[in-house]
Amino acid sequence: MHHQLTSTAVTCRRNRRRLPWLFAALCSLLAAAALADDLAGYVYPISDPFEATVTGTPVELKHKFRHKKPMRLDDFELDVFPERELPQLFQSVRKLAFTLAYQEAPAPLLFVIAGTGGSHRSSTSRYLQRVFYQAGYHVITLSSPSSYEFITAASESQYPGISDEDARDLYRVMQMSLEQVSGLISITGVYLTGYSLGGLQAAFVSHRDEQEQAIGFRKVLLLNPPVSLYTSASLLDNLVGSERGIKNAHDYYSRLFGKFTEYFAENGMIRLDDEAFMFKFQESEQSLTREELMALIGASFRFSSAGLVFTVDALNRTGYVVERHQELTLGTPLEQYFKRGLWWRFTDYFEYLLLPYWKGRQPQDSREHLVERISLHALRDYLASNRKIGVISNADEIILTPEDVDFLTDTFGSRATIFPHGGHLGNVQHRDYVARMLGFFSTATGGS
Amino acid sequence: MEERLRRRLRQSLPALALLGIAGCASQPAQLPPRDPGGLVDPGIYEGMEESFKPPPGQRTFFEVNDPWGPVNRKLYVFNSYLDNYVLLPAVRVYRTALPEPVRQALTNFFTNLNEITTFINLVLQMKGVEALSSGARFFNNTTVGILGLMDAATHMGIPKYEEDLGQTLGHYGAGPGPYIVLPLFGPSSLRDTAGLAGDFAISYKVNVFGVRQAIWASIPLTLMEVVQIRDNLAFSYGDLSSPFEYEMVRYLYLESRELDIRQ
Repeated sequence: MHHQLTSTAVTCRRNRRRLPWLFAALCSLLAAAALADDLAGYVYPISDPFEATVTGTPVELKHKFRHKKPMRLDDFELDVFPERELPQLFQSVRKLAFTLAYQEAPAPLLFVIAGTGGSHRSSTSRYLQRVFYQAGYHVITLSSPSSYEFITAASESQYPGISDEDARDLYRVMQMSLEQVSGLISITGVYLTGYSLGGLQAAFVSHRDEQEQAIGFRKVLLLNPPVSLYTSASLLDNLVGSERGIKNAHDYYSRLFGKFTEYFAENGMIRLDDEAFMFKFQESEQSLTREELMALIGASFRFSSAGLVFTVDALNRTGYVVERHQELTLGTPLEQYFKRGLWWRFTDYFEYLLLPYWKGRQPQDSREHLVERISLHALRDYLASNRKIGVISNADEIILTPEDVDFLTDTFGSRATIFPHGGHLGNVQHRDYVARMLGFFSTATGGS
Repeated sequence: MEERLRRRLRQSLPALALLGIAGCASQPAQLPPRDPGGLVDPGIYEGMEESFKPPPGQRTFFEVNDPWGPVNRKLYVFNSYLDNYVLLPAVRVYRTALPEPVRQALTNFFTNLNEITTFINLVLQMKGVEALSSGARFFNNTTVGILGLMDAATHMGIPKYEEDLGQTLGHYGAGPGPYIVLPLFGPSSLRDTAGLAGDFAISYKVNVFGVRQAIWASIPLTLMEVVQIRDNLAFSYGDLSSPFEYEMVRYLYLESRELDIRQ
């Protein structure tokens, strides 16, 4: 219901210039009712959520950084399981690396959990690190529990995807990292955020923290989280194609690369850090169609899931991707495993690896029960009653169904900010999105 | 042996203690024993091979001319350690020790020095206009730009090109040949390795007031050049956060080189 209201409000806003002021006022009222907060000033030009996800925010609407001064950064490593035996191939990630951006003076510390398969140095993590560093926080970025380095170095079961177990692994790593940096910095309070899959995990970490009380997060903010992991996984799988086999996988991947290649050939090499690159690209002859944008997003998630499936299979010796007798050394060719990994869907990971693992631990648990247990539904009461947790997402978020968006607004109430447009984190660098993030953390618990 | 065991235990004690505090001292999962046997097909691989098959002549992630793969992979890992434990820390010192304008001046200086090989390669490829532009850049940067410390040519709007001997060889039809990972230098191919050696020879032979020769005769200056180059590279190992980083980098390297050549 909220979702529909949101769309109404947006339609109104778009035509506002041509409407009499009375109508405009009515629109604002509607918007306010639908969004709990007045987001009427929010301007975001891309109404297609897939395009938004890929191209991001136009430079002129981006949050402006006040200083150019570089962050004071340091990398650390945690030896979480010193006794763990690993194939030679994985030796380089036997310790979990994390990055700290630190203030000289005493300051609050924020943990950032990366999204699906993302490392502590992924671009969104670095971006959030910079935003909060400039706002005066120490910031620790952590790799996603679904990343190959986390699975190898810090996952106890080495079967990521059981939200509560991922949270246990993260919580352990957070405590160890706090211990490690305690001599270097002075911390006045600990805060937590995570984006995408990391957002869902932040909720579970916070829940665990209530029980264990080892850290005591002051506030927790979920950025574009999935509501049901299984639903989001299916939605992303469907971007690649609803059938199991991609009819022509080679064509599928090379067509995408081909478009970029053509663009480069015509326009000369671009700087990859050119903020407006995707906008220029989408205005060029090679601009991606809606189907291609969907495919690009699907493919990029496939690359993550390929790494996940390979790592879990190789470490647990399940033999689905890597032959059981195969030694994995630094010199082992991986092409065949890469291919097999790309062939798996997220939902295949659930069916063939995660579910059997869970059945081995909880034989009486049903499939449906597991789907529920790893979703935010499992924490509904906690999320509804705890004033310190908030969420930011978009009404057109591609990893959510309209019901999922309703779940967020119903559960979080005034602590939910749902922007009308932005797709999956397409607006994370938007000045309004950033202002919401900073505002959420700077207000005292309970307020907003 | 016993000493080693004791040492390992000592090393792990702090971490174990921490786990104890956290109240999750449970044992990490053990790897199941390696039973002999091959692939267990969960029933999903049907049609996979055909689907990934490229049309003849097209490069893919999976079928690349990489006969020295096992050695290349080890060198790739070696480079990642070299990068993480030597080059990047050196870059950090470099950034702390020298203010931004000084670093920019150094980058300009070395870039200007390399304009010579670009110029020669443009001439070799008979790209007259570009060669003139490159020559003008070198002249202006060396004079107006005070020995190349300032990039005056860019301010004047003279376009910049980067050409190396690998590209020149490619321009005349030489294929990349087998993929090669060079220690320190990273991804390359047989053609590009030959080109790199040639470019070094050209740089060393062309004498402009003996500057290049003097730099390479001095270890500190050569190291500074290496650190400066590293400082300007956006890539770092592990950024892709994938066990398939080697395959991805290999593909992207070969593709981008073909693009450079076609331009």
